Amino acid sequence: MVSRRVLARAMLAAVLCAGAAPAAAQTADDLFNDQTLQRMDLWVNTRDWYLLRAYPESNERYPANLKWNGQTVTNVAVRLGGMGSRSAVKPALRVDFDRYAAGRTFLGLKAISLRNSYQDPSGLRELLTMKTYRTMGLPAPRMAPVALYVNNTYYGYYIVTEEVDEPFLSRAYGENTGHLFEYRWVTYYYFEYLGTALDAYAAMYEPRTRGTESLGSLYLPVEAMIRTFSQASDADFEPAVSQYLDLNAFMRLAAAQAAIAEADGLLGNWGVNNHYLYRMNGRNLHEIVPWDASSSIRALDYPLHAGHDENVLMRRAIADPALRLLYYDTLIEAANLFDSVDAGTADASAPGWLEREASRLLGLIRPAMYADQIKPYTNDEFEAGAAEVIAFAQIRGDFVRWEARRFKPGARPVY
Amino acid sequence: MRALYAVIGAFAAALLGAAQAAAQTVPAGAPGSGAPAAPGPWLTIESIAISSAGAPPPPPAAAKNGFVWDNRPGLRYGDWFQLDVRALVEGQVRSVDPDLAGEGSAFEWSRRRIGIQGSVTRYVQYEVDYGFDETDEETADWRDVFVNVRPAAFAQVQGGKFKIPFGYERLTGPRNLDFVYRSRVSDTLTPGRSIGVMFHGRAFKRLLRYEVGVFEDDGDRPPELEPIEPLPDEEPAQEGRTWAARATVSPLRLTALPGKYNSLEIGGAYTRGTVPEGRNHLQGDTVFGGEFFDRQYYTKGPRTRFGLEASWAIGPASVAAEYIVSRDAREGQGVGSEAQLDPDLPEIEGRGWYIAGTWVVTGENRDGGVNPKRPLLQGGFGAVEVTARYEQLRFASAGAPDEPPSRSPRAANVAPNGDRAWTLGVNWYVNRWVKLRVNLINETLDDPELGPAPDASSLRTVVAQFGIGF
Repeated sequence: MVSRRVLARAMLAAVLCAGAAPAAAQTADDLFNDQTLQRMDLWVNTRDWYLLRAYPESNERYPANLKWNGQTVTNVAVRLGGMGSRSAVKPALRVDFDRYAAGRTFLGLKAISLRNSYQDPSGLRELLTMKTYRTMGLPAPRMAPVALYVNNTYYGYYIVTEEVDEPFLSRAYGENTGHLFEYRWVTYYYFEYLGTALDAYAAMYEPRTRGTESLGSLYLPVEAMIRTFSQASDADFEPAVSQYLDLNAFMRLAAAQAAIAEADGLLGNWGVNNHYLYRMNGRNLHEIVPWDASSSIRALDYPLHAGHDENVLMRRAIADPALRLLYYDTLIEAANLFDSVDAGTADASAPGWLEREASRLLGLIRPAMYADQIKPYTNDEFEAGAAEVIAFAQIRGDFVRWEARRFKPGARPVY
Repeated sequence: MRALYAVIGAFAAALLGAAQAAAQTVPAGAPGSGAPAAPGPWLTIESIAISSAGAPPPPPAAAKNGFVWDNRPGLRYGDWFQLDVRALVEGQVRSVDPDLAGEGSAFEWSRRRIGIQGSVTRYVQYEVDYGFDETDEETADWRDVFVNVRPAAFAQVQGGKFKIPFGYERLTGPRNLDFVYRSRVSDTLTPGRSIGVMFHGRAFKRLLRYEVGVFEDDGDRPPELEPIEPLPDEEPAQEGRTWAARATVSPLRLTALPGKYNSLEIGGAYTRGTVPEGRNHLQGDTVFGGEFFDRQYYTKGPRTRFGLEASWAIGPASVAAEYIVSRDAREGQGVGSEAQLDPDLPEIEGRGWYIAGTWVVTGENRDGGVNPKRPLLQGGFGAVEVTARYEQLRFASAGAPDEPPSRSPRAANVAPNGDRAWTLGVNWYVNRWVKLRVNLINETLDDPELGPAPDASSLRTVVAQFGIGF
């Protein structure tokens, strides 16, 4: 009698063998290729692996070897990652390639994250959300599903994720020598002005580059930006804020997050969250990069205006006619993307892009999920979560399009 | 400043005391004194062993019981009891370039020690020594506390706390060092003091000398080990015993050379011990300050050392050289692969050598230590000696050369680094108690990025040290 667990492992092995690619001439694009389920191996000294899980609050780094697609990278550093997804049972991991050898990269990358899909039983939400952003031309980390083995033991389904760091900045913005900050959730915050004391901004925005510079060098432009959100006059709002923030990019990202029902993003239920802030070198202009989308795709009818009133920046930006138009146009663009059918398909009722992607990825990760014995949910919960995502993909486009057209400036009211 | 004034005061007192003492006592080693030339005011455990091994203990300098001043204060009761009070105070002013801390030149104590040594009958010698070697008085500790029993010159037993027998320069007491600092290889790779038992002796008319001992740990060099936190159900990491053996030969004693030329001594030594699991490998320190190879890597298992040494005093000149290799095992410290979890890693190897030469410009003999013929304030200027030393010390993995070097604490091929240094110096022996040393040291690191001053191509240290000891 073959147990379901053994069967699941056998299916996983078959999928991994089918997805194995030749080792030659591999790039970061191959690593983040979500067309296959990839296998990744980590070896960590058993003492270190015990300690890493014994102290889940610690960010202590431990040496490891990593193998992917026939290539072994020795002396990488791993540490526990994640905030809400932090787990000692199924640890989310950050892998640094340059920790023990300054300047070293792997496939041009300084680091990767191995996200554990701890808060998403479907395992699909982050993959689909970041892919939506990227497909819409918004800078966002690349991701791919992997089956992770640690010390020759299967550790389950993970998502290998591009870190927001210098290589990412080069790819997204063509330069990487500016100031990069990771947003740390401290309390409910809505971009209100916190005064001239820079410590308040430093508590939320942790420097990821140029961290040794003075507080003033790091945070004076951030303070000025947030002050401008609040204090610029209505007439002067767009030009004044545009000195500090790429407003068009912000509005497009906010719209994309609304379309994908991101409940824990810039305008989410917990205030501002889950993003990086990047200030170009020698300029005061900031860009926002999304991160951690495990709370997206939550409700079919997630409102398109969630958080607009609470968030100072959004409340004022949406009052600007041009920015308001951009916001709704982007919502419609996202809805159209969700529902777009294959170019060669004449049937308009055929599954849209988002549903096709969800179904394809589901088929890819199902063996990894079933073989994953330490995931914090059952296989039934996984299937239920996946069904929610498929249903969202089928319906969300229509909802977003309908609502956006209702509120778009100049649109006829729809009743 | 109070410390500086204290040293200056002691310096002046020593000069005056020397002048008065010269009128009262007959110096050891002087014609007619009946005592051999003292190797220096501060005897080491080795010098006790040496002086007591070849012949019966010398009779007291004067046939006087009770309190005596024979270079130092002491008590004498015939042949059956002897006690000498020993003290040493050394202070130094040093400056470094680049001056990273911006401190300029600053005075600091280098050694302050007090102790007693002597004998009970002709068969038992003892020594007790307390003090500290650093500016920080927290480091004060009992240093040498031991008893040596000598039923025969070739079969002696020494027990207590004393230096593990390894390394010519390590076993040389501070007052007899030719330089302010020991060589990097000696300072870094030799074990220092521990509690143990040692069998030792001298045979064939001092042609051969041997020491074999077992000690409770690997000594106080380096001073602090950091055992790793034990996992559940795991015994705490323990430091194991260290075995040590050393042998030297003096081949020129077989020849007809005059005594002042036949002191050539060649030897070898070996230690084997176990240090607790953790980041406990030997680390490379610069003279400049800071490490060039810090304790970054996990080790577990035996630590072995192997050393070769040679020293020769030829009239007013001397030459000494040592070559030392240390190896720290890393059993089960790797991160693994498909084939094996937690594999053994190549040992961390420290390998270094030095060669040093000295010449007493004023002509005194080097053998047994420089004893000024004409001390200051006694019709002369003291003795002046010039010194030079070149040395190298390097740490690396003893294997895995094909793997890229890494700073990972479990790297098979650790990021290597080395320190090459030359030292030029002048020693002024003011009298038998007071000595002034000035050294210029230039260090060059193989990989400055791993050192204390990543932007500096070389590290320079100038140090002036004065010491008073009896």
